[in-house]
Amino acid sequence: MAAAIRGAEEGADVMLVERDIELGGILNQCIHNGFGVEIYGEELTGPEYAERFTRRIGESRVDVRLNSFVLSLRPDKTMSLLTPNGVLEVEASAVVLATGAREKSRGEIQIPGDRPSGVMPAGTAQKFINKKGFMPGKKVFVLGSGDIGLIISRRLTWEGAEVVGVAEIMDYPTGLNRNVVQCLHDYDIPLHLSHTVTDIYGKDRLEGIELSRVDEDFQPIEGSSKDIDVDLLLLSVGLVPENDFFKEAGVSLSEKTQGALVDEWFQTDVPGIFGCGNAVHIEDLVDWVTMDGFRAGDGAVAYAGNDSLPSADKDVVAGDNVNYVVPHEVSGEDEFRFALRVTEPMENVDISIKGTDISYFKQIVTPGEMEVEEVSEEDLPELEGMSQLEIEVTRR
Amino acid sequence: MPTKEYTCTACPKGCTVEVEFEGEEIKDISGYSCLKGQEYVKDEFHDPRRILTTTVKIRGARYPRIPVRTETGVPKDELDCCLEKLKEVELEAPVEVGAVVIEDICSTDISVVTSRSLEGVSEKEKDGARL
Repeated sequence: MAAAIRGAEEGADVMLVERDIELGGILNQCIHNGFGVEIYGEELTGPEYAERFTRRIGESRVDVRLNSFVLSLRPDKTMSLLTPNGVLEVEASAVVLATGAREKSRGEIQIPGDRPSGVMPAGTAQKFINKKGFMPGKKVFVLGSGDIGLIISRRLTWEGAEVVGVAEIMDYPTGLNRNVVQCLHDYDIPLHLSHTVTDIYGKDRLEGIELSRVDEDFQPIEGSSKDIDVDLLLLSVGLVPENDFFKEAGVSLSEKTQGALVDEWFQTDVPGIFGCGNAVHIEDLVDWVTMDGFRAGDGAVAYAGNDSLPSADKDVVAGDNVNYVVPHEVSGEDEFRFALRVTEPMENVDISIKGTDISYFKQIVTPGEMEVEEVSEEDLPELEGMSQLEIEVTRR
Repeated sequence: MPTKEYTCTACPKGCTVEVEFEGEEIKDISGYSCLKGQEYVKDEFHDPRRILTTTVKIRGARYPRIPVRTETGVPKDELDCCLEKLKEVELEAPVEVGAVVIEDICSTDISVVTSRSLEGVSEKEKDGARL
């Protein structure tokens, strides 16, 4: 929506295609608060945040196509859409893919055992409860301590279910500290660190799981297993960018994020095809998603207008204690923002561009929290002549 | 002297902060690393509050539930009371975002409001209906 709004503001003809019956995506089922702190300075719920943008879309010239799906997207930016009125052929000058992400499923983490009903991603349970008004279980175990898993634990408790525990394979919770406190501690829900689910029991409906402690190599430790009776197992084990359309259009993907490789305008290596939000990398805050969307919208309009943007010839690479950084290339001719995740928690650090004076002090960095920094207009001269920007996180 | 332990949520560090207290009075706070942490624990000790976000029933809308929230944090001890009260509510579409669902819920002086708009729709426009 942000990219479409920006496009329309800049005078472009914008079509927004959405497969759901309304705009807003996952925000509509994220009824908890915590959205909008960076952009609005207040804690909105997901639906409130979405509605602020659907209103702006409604007031704009954006041509919104709901209940519609892209059947195919070609590198020349022509595409076929399936809409309630039939198939539509579209020739675009620029395309922004804001397709979000998918939750990892049981198959992707390969839990052995039976295949009963009652095993699902946490976000699916969230949709059942918050939008459809169904309770997917009564006695629940959650695998994974990501934010979705933590928030759904509180939600299920409020709706009368018993959440008997949350297991995390790492030796630290992967979700935000605030959520650990407010979603687990508040309701005395035990968090089992360095544990995972190693078996699933049940014929038609889930009857129980086997929980085991893991060693440093994440392998189950023999003799540490115990059975727990539950009728619902929720998986909150990470998200993967929805990258099918990037692949179809011939866009190169990052091995680290599984999302598209992009420059500072969120343009991919197929000219005129842009990506933003969780389709590029999994973000923490919707506010950053929105800001990236605005930027991608700006880029798409510039591209559609004169078919070129400053060429992004400086590679941005991950240095010490950086797991990954986005964007992957920049031109160095315009101010830009970069986002990174660290590999290890660290205190009193400088996030810096190696070989320059550009650096940002942080009291604490953790893999669970994305760091976002801005390289301003004044910093740009420092980047002149560099072919590679190595971002590193080092102890001060 | 009795003590209580808190995990501070002011930043990702998550310090474990210990409060020594007598009755309602804090005698000593230890384990925090900054002033924000000290403030957080004082609030948590004297008046812990949480924003409640849940759903209530709605008729005549695209979905059978509509999300609601307390406008600001309600005392933690009142969350169960608020949830019970909200179970009894059924709204009728159309409803605008920010509409008051229950005023002064559980005598907290805080209102529960809708957190989205839902228009009135016909049966065939409902979620899950065939197009």
